Amino acid sequence: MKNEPAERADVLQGTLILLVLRTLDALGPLHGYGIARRIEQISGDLLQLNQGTLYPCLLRMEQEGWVASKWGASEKNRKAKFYSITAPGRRQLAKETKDWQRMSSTIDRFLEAIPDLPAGDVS
Amino acid sequence: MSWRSVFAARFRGLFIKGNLERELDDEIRFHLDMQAEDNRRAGMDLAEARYAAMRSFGLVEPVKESYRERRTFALVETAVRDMLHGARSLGRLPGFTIAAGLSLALGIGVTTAIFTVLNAVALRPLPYADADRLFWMTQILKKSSTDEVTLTGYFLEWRRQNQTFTDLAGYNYQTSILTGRDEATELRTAKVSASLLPLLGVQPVLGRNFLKREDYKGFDHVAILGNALWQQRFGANPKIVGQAITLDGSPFTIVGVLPPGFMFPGSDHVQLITPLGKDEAAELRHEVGSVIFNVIGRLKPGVTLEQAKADLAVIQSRLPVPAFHPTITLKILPLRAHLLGDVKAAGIILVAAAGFVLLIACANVSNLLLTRWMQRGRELAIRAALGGSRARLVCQLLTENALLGVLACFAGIALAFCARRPMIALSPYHLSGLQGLPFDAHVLGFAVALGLLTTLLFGLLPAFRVTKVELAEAIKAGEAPVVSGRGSLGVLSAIAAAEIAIILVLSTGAGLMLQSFWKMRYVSLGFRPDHLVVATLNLSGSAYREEAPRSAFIQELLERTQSLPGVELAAVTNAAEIPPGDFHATNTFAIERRNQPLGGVRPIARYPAVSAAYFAILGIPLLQGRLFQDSDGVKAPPVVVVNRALVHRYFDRENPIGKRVRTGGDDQPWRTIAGVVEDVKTSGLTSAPEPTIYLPYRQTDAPAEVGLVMRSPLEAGIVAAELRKSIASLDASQPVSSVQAMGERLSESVSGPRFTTVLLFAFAGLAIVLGLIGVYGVMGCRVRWQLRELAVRQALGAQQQDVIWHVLRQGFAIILPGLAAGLLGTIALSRLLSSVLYGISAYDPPTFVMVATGMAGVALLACWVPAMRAARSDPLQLLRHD
Repeated sequence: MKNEPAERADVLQGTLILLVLRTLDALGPLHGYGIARRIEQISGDLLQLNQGTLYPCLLRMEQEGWVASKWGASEKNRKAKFYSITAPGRRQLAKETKDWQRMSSTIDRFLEAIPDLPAGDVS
Repeated sequence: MSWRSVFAARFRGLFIKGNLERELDDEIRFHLDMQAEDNRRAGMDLAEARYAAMRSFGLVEPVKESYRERRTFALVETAVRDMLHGARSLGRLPGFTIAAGLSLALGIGVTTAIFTVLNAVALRPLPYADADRLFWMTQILKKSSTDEVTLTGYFLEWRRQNQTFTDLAGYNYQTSILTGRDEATELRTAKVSASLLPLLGVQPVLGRNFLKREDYKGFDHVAILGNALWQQRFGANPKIVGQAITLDGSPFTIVGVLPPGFMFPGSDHVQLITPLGKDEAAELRHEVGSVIFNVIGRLKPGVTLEQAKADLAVIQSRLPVPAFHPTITLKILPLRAHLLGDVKAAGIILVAAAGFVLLIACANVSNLLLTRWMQRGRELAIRAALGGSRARLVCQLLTENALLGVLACFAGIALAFCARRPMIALSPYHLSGLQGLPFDAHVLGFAVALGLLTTLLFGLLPAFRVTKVELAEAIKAGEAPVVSGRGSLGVLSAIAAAEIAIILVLSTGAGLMLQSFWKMRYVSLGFRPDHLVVATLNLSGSAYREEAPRSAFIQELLERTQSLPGVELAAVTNAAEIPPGDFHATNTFAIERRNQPLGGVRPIARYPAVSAAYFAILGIPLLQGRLFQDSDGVKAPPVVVVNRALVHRYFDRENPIGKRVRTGGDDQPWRTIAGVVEDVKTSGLTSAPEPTIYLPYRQTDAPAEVGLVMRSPLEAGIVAAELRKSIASLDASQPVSSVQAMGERLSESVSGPRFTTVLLFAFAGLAIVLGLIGVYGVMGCRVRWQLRELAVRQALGAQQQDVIWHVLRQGFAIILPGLAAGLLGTIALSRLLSSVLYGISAYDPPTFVMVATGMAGVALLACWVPAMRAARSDPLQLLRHD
């Protein structure tokens, strides 16, 4: 690859599920590659997704009953496995979204509340 | 919720593994293709696009691996793989598998078989409703003798006043003669409170239980038949209720039939029950002092044993003391402890002994595995090199063991199942109403637990040991197995030493038991048991209620018996006084010119009434004075013969001959001591002889329970037939209670210790065989290890005996610590054993020395054979072999 963006964050442990669920909820059925592309696009290539890790994650979600999978034909008429979100998946999405928002707002508040310290005092 | 769907998905995964794998491949290929295509559209050339796609995907194999782990149960898959591998590797060495499996199966089988007995006898609940709340109680009346009986008056008071029991019931055993149908038969019967059956939670299958008023004397001529008696004697007649039978010459009405399988709460097979039939008003006024031998009660819900004890003690303390002023203490214990108390100690010893055999079997298999795996060192090393973690290797080896363990467990259970019949035949417990040895969930659970424990025990140590792989060493070494060889040899030797220790513990135990049994059964009986036939009769019929006809019958009986064909000599006595006997002396007597008032402290003795030939028949030697003669009749001056124990205890250095004693109350005459005879065991074979005063049977009341002793060269069965014929012609309504050879009688009385001894001996034998095989195997392995070293020694000039000595020295290094540990173990465990030993100390030094020496001898032999083989092998060939 050519120029890697200066700072690309690894996908946080546990947030991958949230991202996948959100993607499927917004776009409808997608194959694995489509999901990966979509996550990278939306994040403006700022999220470094190790694409391979998507598949064990999808398997787990399928086992949990959050997504369903079906073999179908891709845009280019190739056989591909399409994933779609299920009703329990939507519930899970709502829950994880709420959790994430609560978490992030908490962290935000935390960061605002503490004044910046002189660098020397932090050890 | 969600774990369930995951579980279901993974469970499905187990079966569609292949599909899933293919689908994943397809999916990944699709992904990479798409990415490559996108890359190409962005301007890369073909190869670069492909490469970039793979880079952004990451490593494919780890993804697949974590996918696989998630896809189904990784553990199950591994276990299945390990099991298949294990099965293959066991199958490759059928000899090893059979040897190891058999010895484990033997160990598990033996231990389970013993547990089956213990379970049936001592662990299963008694067959009564809520049996845990049943308790047995008695008064202990202590005066000059100690009696565990309850005076009826007190029983009635307890029953009326107590706050802690829902009800109490009393019962006494007796024998009764059933006449009027077929031939007269003697029955084991019991007189029981009307409350007994409800207390036990038992309902008659036919008719009714006794009524409350039938507990009273005069209303008690009703009977409930035991189920077996009803079937055998009354043809299972469904209209039996209301019919009359004759018991001991009196009419009884049958009011019910007991259910099949009902076990009377005692050691006797009771065939029929009648009411207790006490004159309760008179008992409560203490005008009569009849006794009850068994009182049981059911605790009220929520009441503890302590509260019940306190309750009874308070009631007892408020009641007047009986006229003969005994000290009264109370004893109350769970019914199960009362019925099965003695069995438990022996049972625990046997289970422990069987456990030791199992331990030895484990040790052997452990050894076998270790030596075998040491030879598989290279395989293990390669596995480790390919990335098998130690945990993984241990796991794999353990799976292999588990397979062996499961096989052995199945075989063991089968063995225990088949062993039930011989065990019952041998066990003394068929006497205690035990119908069969149930093979229930407890037994199976025990066997499975044993199997698991065994697998861990024999598998874990070698598995840990051999997986400590020195990688480089193992792979580069040419032929010799290298898996930490020296260390494993040390472990092998330690196991062999432990085996020797266990054998020593078991053999010493068996040796002590054997001597104890020998002393009990054969030594110092005080009489010659060979060619003796013993018969007993119970003169309880109405014809013999008076003394005169009884005496006449006995006289006639003796004369007829003496003239029976094959009977050389016959004598009569009290049935209960015939050796070996089973109860202690309780009768008091007085010695003339000593201050021994009636009701005060008096000496105790047994009083058998015997006819003149008694001493000659039993071969009891005369020590002093004379024996009875036919002239010691009714009109002759009253005389007695006493035994040595009595003289020793009550005539310290005095000459007893000519002294006079009085047996019983003050209405009895003074009787002159005419002779002193040697002691005979009449209080059970495990009790010391007690003071005894023999009375000439014609100078005392004729006993109701008559014993006949006969000396005859014929079989007891032949004598029995003749005797029964003769008695039937004398009085057709008088049955014979029992006829048996004295030897049989003695053996029966020690069937409990015999059971323990035989089994302990069998276990010790098994342990010796298995253990020595183990020691031999270890020595063989050590020698194989050193063959090259020994060959070098021989090449350098060592003689054959040097080689032998070199090996034997290593043998000693195993044997001596083993013996020392065994001795310590024996000493530690002998407290357990001492409760069942008779006439020998649990620390008997000669036994210890003998067993230890013998053990050392055979163990040395087990070392000597491999030593010889090593010395005989050709050193040149061995060296060239390299």
